[in-house]
Amino acid sequence: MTAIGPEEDAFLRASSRVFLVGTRADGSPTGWPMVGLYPGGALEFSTYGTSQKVKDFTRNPAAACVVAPLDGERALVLRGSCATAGGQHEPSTGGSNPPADVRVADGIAEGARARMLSGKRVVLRFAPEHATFVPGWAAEEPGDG
Amino acid sequence: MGDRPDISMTTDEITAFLGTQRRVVVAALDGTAPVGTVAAVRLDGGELEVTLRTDDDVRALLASDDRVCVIAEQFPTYYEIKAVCAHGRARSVDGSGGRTFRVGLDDVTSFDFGKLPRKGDGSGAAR
Repeated sequence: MTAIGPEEDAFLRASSRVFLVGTRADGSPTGWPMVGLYPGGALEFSTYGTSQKVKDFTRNPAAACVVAPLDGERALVLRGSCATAGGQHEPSTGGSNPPADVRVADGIAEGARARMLSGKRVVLRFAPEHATFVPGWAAEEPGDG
Repeated sequence: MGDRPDISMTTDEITAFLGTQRRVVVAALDGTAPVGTVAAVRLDGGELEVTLRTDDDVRALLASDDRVCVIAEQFPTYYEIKAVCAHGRARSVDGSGGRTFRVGLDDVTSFDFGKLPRKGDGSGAAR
């Protein structure tokens, strides 16, 4: 049974603001705000092959994602695993066009794609195993509840 | 660092940025697996004070293992992207039952895309 139903699928297609969470070498939690690309079934992240997050997920693939649109009343919390997609340097969604909710400066997407094609960047693929909606960035202040 | 510029923030820049933030993602541990949630935050006395939802499962997880990472981020435009990740141990605020905790800024990573060389400077970076 997949963790991603129609409601989760629609949410993931509409928002690319994702906090990717993993563990450091000492086992403590850490995380990275990322642009998450969703081709369906899994989230993908473009990053440098030498980045700390690649090292961390190679050591321990256990991962979580918080998908949290800035204006969203809801966020989607995912638990699963994350690993480098072997032989893949460009997201499955393609490297040319950033997601609609990402405001990228002129030339940035082209530069990123060149680094993808050069092999400097890799794709991290997060496979969700569990999904839960929680109050999001624009929800009522948690401290008021 | 090779061809990647240093875009980390100074201590003063981190403090100034965190002072503007009201929401964060909190990363905690469920055994050896990381979990995340959304919480309220305020900067107080050089530390982050974080308040979880009343029914947030992360509250119980932090009671079992207090190692935590608190992530603040802004993304108004590409060159205004900033983020700070504060790692530490969650210290429960008295009377909150663990719902509100504090974490220091001794172990922090950060980035500020405003420090990236602009297109035309021969560089640029993807997120």
